[in-house]
Amino acid sequence: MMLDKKTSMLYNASTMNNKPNIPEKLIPGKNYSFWADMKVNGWMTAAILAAFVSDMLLHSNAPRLFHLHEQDWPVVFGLLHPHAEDWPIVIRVIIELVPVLMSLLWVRSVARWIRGMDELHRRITLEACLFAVIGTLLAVTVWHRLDKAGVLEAVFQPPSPPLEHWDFRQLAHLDINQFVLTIVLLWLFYFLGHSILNRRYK
Amino acid sequence: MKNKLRELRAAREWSQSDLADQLGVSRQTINAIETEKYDPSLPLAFKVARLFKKPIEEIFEDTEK
Repeated sequence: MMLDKKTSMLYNASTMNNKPNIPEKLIPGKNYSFWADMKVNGWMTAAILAAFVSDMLLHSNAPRLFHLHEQDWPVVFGLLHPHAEDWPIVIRVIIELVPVLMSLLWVRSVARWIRGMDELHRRITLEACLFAVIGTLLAVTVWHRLDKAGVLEAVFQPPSPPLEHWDFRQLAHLDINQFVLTIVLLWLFYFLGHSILNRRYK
Repeated sequence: MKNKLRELRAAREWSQSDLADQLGVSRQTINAIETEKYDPSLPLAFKVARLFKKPIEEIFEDTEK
């Protein structure tokens, strides 16, 4: 029996080196791997940073979330607001599209990661991705319609006078970069879907 | 779908990780197949049959008959 076990394991040694990718390596927990996470999501991190930089360069409103004011942050604003609205249109288009290009590279690395999974994990991950996309679409659509109908304005009435510090009533008026908000929602729904589906197969 | 994977594995004194390594899948997949929560794909079922040197029908039982 022992000889049989050793012999067959040696015979299959080549398959032991090709371990499939495990989704848990990307989820905070005991199996989490920072390097695996960067390998898969490095481009997404870069895309978020690029989106933030392009916002600062090209969008004239300072992010209200952080209450940045030019007089308080002269160095930052001096560096990141060099009158970019005067730049050639080609440069501005490139700056705006860089986060989108990085997002496409992120999708490619995610697809590679999923292709390296075994069949059960691939099924769970793809179903979780579908759940994330549908959940995000629904959340954004509902939020947008409630905002248009004035519901959010009525429920989250802006404080008067405006508070110096962040208050939950400003939730409806956050000027968060739409791109970042979408990514955050996608991740939240992905983790939710993944944990639900994982339990189904345990 | 019922299967005899656990018995065949136990007869060879393999752990779920050992079997998973030999089939190139995760331990969770082996566990899900043994607890009948997941039906393997055809290529994986053939791999299992080849590993245990038995016909597929002897390992996996179609419960819809």
